[in-house]
Amino acid sequence: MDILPQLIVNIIIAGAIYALVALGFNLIYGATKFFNLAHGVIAAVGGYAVFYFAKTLGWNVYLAVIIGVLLAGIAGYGLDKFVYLPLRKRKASNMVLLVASLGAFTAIQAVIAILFTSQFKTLSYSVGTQRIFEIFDGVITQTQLIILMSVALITAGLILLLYKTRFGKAVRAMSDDEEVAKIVGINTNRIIGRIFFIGSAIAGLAGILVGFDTGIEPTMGLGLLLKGVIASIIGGVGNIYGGVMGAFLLGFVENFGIWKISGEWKDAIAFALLIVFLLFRPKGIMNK
Amino acid sequence: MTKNSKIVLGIIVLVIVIWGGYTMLRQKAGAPTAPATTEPIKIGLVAPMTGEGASYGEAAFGGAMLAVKEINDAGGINGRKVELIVEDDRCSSAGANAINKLVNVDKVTAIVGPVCSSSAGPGVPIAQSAGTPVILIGASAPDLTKVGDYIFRNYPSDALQGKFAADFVYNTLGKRKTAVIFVKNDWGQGIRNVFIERYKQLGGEIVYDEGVLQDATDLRTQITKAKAANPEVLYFPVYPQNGVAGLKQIKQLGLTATVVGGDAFIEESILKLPEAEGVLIMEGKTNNPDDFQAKVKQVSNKSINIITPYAYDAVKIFAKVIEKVGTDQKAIRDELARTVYRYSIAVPVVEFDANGDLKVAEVAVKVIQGGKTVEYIR
Repeated sequence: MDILPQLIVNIIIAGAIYALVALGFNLIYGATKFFNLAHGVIAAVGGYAVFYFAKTLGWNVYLAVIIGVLLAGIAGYGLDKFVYLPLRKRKASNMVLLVASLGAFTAIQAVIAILFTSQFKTLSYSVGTQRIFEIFDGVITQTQLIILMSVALITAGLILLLYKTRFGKAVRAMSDDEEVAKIVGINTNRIIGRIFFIGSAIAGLAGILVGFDTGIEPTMGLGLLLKGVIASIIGGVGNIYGGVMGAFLLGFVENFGIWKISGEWKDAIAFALLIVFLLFRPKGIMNK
Repeated sequence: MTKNSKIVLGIIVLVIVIWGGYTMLRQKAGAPTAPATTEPIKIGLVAPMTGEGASYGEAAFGGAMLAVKEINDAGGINGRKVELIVEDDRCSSAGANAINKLVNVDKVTAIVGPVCSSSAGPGVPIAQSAGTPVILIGASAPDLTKVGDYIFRNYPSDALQGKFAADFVYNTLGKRKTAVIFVKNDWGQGIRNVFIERYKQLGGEIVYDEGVLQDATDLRTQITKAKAANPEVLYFPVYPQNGVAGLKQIKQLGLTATVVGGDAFIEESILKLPEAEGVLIMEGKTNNPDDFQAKVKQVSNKSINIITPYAYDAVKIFAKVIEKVGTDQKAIRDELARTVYRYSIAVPVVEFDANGDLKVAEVAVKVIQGGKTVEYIR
């Protein structure tokens, strides 16, 4: 059997998951210029919200997904309102914000573990009936196709938002120079709050879809975040296109790398790629 | 800092150093004096009495207490009572502190436990270097008994599982081509090494063999490669989080080989998974008869599980050995190494191999059916 077609499908699936995380991360970074590590745990919030509403309470799955995405968005917005905004007002450096986000990450992760235990859980026990599609000689499941379509739709949506709306114009102005944006009358804190809501909602969706594809656990955020951050950095941090391209490049290198060598090297390869980019092309593929 | 406070500080430092040095020297010089023959014989129990694994600690305590009570009711060992000293290791590296205290402060004759490999790993080297015999009662990582000649284990090592799985796949299932995907940690690597060694020895062919990291949930490329190798059986000793994702991906990618997992699969998230239906599991066989449990309930009303009979047996084995050779720890070790104990509850016979592991242990084969494990019938 030739494994190349399946390998390519695997690359696309992995790349799509990383892209989903990188999209929200880049959006937030672009506006705030700080590494929001709590982004990872927001994905877990989305996943666990769906677990609670759909599996524990038995609500309609689609309704639960919508609630999960909204809750993740609200959680991100809340973090900004109650943690990052007061710090920004005190003119805290990005390093302080980074540490604060690490604290938020750990605290929320611990709360999830207390509420739901640390056990690995899966969102859909009915995947046995999940439809499987064949593309050339590779297979892809319905969930994975949804992930791929979500990436395409969200990328397009973000591009439209950033380049075709007044809101987007303000975000880009802020991204270029926050001080000047303030001077021309842009309410930067309000914009950042909204950006946090949108970016976190995307992260929540990522967590939910990963939950349907494989499963959820309180510590899932770190793995997702790291891969998302690598994708952002190699693509060009803060850049929407860059994050998506970086994600697929990461998926490609990772899965292609273990074609001929043993699978446990996957993470080693991913992080080696990060280091190579940091050394030789620190601004990423999409050199701004 | 004023001059006076500097002097005071200097004196404090000096006193601490002299006192510390004196204490250390005194401990080295003064070899433990032989206790009077009427003093109780101290046996340490290291188990998780608090934390996530507390039910195992309670279970071990019940079994050990019953053994101690039976021994003391019958007049003790050569007229000396047995005293059980319990130390909490929280299933963590606190096992090192627990064993340190038992060995250096309580000066116990022998140690029963730890229950968890994560506690035994940092703990048992201390007992080994102090020359205190240990019988592990649940810590199953294969390498623990290789720490030294004072470390024994009456609980089946993970290695047995791997060896048994190889025999089972080759002889019972009659499959000659196996792929292996294992979790890259002490447990997974240990089982995998033993499995592959035994399977090749029997004449089987390993067509694929790769590890996954403990937190990996994307096993697609590994499974794709395994499928391309056309195995008849997939030996899959991984943790539940790898397993939930991996079993789904195995189905999705259409790998139809029989899946054989390790005992880590006996966990709700795996058992409840529809994709786990039909997966085979190897599990150490433990006897825990009802009349034994009833006796344990009389001394401890807390949880009883598979660890209870192992803790009971370990205390009883030490008692039998001490009765024969006295409390000299070297003599106890030598006697343990050649003892054949047929009165044990958990396993039919306790006899240690050169490593200090059980020579014979029974492994049961189960199959996942309808959310639980049932006995495998061909």
